Amino acid sequence: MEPPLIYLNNAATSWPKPQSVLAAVNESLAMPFGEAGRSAGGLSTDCVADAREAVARHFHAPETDYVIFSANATDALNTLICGFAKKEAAPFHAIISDLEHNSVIRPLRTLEAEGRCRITVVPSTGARVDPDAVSAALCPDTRLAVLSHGSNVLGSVQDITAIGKILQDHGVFFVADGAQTAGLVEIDLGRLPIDAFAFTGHKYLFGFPGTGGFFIRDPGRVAPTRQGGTGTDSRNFLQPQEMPERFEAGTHNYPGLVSLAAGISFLEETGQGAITQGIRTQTGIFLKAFSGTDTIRVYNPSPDLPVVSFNFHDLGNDDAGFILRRMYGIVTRTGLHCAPLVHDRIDGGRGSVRLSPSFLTTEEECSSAATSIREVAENAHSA
Amino acid sequence: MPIVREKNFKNCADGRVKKEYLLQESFSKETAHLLSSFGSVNIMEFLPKPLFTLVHPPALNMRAVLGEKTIEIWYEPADLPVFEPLIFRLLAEETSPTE
Repeated sequence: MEPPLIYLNNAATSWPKPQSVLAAVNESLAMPFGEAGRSAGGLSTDCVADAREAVARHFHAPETDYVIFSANATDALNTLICGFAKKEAAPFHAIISDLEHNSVIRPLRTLEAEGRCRITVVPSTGARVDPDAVSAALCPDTRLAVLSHGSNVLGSVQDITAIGKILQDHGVFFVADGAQTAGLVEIDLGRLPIDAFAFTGHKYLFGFPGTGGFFIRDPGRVAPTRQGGTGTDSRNFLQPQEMPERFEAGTHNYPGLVSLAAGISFLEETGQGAITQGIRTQTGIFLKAFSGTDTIRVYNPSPDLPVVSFNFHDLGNDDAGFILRRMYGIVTRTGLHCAPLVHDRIDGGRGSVRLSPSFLTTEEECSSAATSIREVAENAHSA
Repeated sequence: MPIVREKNFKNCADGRVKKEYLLQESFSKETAHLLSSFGSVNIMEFLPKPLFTLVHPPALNMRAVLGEKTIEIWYEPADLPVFEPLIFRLLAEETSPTE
């Protein structure tokens, strides 16, 4: 008999989704979608506008229409990075950290390979990027910094306020990658000294895959990278420059955006306090179970996010993931987690096993998984 | 113990190709020993169900739970055309009638 499923891969995609999200999407599918920007003709409500308002409200965005939808955070980061580079006349210097995901590394390395920028990778210390290290990396031609707000490997949240102030003082366009923090951490875009914030819907905002986007403070700093139908100004053969049309073309992911708005409503009804407490409780269960043994090595014993990365002393992470999934029903993520640079520092580039519960993972599931993992570690050690 | 069919195929995030195969019979210790000439074999007997692993770097690694009818193999994409038929042959040979 298969063991019951314990899903601990929410840092990739959250599951389960709240019942209210499933119900909202189901209900929305019963009627034709009113098209964003096009005449709705009494059909269903404008789900794109509803989702935009929900995102703007949740992140305290100063301008609702400066929230742009994309397929995910990777798509958002590509638009921001490539669109920024498109506006730059000359090659420029960019700053990233070793905590970055390939959704940041690859677009920038591609630009670098094309001779359009050069990159400094700021090494993290412990689990954090030191604002002083970012300051030290600045060059006279530094124009762009793209930094992870929350590490998907170490679960640490970076001080983007301190980093942002330094970058702002030097006129550097600062993109914060909020893929791991959106839905978990209070984000106030009205106050944070950042130029753009990328988010995804399918992780801790509890939306469906295929949702995400970004907020941009000054749209003029980034050129649009796609053009097409907007349902507005259709005799204009060039992309309208109004927001959000400047960055959005084509039909939106209607059911996805319904799920995103419903996921945000769920979070707001739950409350930030309960979410923060849930994170502490869940990570505490794992950290306590993994303490006092040298059979398990945890890479950040005090994560801010519900992310616990570790390796077994006596098992490779690939084998560990297989064993946990097949024999204990525990779904983890193993390997490099698309963030290769930090692994060179913490585990010699081998990768790790990552546990990432969500607010909807029960304490019993966390306890059961922690006990099983400890058992595997001890048994492998004494074998 | 021939492979009956491929059950699943996945392009993994790390660039490897993962294939899951259905076997005609349960994977046994004898099968594990047969495959030991092909790569570095480990049987983890300390688990509730022993786990067999085989590593043949850099081309592939293989995992199977003893007593179950599936094996999972991760291939380097460039090596897949050569090594997949080889695995099929190796497993088929195990049950070839002896003269």
